Amino acid sequence: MDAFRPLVERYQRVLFSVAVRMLGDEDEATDAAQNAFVRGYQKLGTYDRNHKFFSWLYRILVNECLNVRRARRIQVPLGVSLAAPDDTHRVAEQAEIRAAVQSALLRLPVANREVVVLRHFTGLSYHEIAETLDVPEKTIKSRLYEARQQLGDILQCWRAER
Amino acid sequence: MNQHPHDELLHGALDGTLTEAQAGRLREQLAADAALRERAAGLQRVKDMVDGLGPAEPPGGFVDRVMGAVARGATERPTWFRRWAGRLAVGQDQLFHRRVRHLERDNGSGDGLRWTTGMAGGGANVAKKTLWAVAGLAVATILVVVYYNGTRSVDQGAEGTIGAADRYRGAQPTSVAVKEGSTQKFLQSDTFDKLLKDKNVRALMADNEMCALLARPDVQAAMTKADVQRAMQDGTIDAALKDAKLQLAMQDETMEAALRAASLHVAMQDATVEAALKATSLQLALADEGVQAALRTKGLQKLLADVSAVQAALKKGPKAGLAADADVEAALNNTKLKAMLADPSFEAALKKSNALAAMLADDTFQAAVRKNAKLFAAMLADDGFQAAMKNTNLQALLADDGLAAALKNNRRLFAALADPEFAAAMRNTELMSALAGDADFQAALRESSALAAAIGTRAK
Repeated sequence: MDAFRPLVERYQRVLFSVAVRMLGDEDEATDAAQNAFVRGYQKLGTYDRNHKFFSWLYRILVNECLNVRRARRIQVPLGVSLAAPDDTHRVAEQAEIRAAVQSALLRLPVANREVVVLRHFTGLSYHEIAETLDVPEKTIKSRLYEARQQLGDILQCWRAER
Repeated sequence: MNQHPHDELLHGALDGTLTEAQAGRLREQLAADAALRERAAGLQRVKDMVDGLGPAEPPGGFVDRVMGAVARGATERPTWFRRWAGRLAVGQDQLFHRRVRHLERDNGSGDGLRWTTGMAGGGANVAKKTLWAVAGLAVATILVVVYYNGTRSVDQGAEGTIGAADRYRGAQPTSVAVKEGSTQKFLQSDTFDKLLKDKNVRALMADNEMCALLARPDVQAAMTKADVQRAMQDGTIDAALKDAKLQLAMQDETMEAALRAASLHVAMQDATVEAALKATSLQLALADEGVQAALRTKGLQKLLADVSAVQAALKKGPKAGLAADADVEAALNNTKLKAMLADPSFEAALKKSNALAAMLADDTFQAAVRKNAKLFAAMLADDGFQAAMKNTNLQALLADDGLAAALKNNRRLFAALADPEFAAAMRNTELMSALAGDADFQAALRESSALAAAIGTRAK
């Protein structure tokens, strides 16, 4: 079991980031990421070393996120940062923008959202995302372009209403 | 959605995947096409905003928490399930007793065999319903037993892979190795046994992050205080603690001090003050440095304590003899201050009591205004924030130095204080006395993964 610890240490941040951006709730993301690690440990025997460990773990995380979504509470994407409050007004403004972006992400169709999240928060290439999601690279690009366009539209409305 | 003809190049540029030739072609097209430049700028903005979210940091102690769960072979049940299972445990007990009473009434003696062998007429319907109820009870019981026993949950269709994984992992230790010393002493103590009997305390001890919080001396001291305990039992505090603006303000030392001031707490109980805080004239005045300076002068503070003097001063001017004070005279030359004083909502609040004047004169309030008047004033005018600050139990929590320090930058503690299960755990007298002075327990809290693992082992 001790050998598993370095893997948790290595992937905790990226897995948690993906879960937060997919779910928009830190508590739910914590549960989902933790469950993904536990199930990952339980299913280690099924891991094929020819593939990236993260890709394999990510598929488990997606299932956990779906479980959480099924059991979802009322969602309030706070977007309140824990950044140092050197300039509270700036922090508040940034928090507001972050909350708007997070909220926009949550309005995307899941298939588009996961491509954006994987591209922006894991640094995976188009090819690696295609491998992780098991869909053609062309589809990944088309979903990413569409998602960015949708995000742009949502955020433009948000700015106009502000 | 139709793809734009240049999408491949534009997104490629954003993602840094273009070859030099493609980049050159895009540069030429951008130079020649204003609409394309606009589209590129829009996409760049979106990318920057999404990137601006940045990576999220897992909560403190996350690795320990995961390793504890791995050791127990347990996945986290969602919060709704934990609450539902708790209610079900109580509900099924009540339902069971109601059914028994019902059967006893229908069958005279309450002989269990009679209803299982069938009844005539309307009794048959009762029997059918009863059978469904019993079946429901059985399912509910299984669910509750599964939950409380912490049975390892297995994905559908994953049994084979789990078997393979078990072989891959090799034999697991049958007992959890516990570190020598105080933690081990605590795990072998009667106190630990007693604490394990309380499901809320058990859940608390299995949570590494909560253990880390409780290991803090300031949190321990706060939790054992009567007013904090009382505040946590209050069902209305939940929404107050979830207020995003309150959480944000608590991250700033200056604002935190202002929010903890008694004068602000008193003022927030007054509806006329709440209305005055929403007035644009007050918002503008507080953001003005001249007004900020004037509010610090004794002369203006004295004037604000007497509404008739304010009215007279506005009408006739300070030189009329009602406020012949150089500071006030200078202050009343400020149009923003005058607008604030003349606002009907401000006047109504001054007439009602001296709460508004006292709040404005408070050093902590003035410091917060100086730090960021616009944000602080906007916060004070916010409906949710006003409702939160009106809650006297929240005020009691904020008034506690240790807890206020712990709340700073700790959203998990905010959530915990609003959680009925956490409050229930904090009612456990054994836990309170362990928190108050059991050194072994303190050590165990610090060694939270050993504590969680020991709980998992006992559950099995």
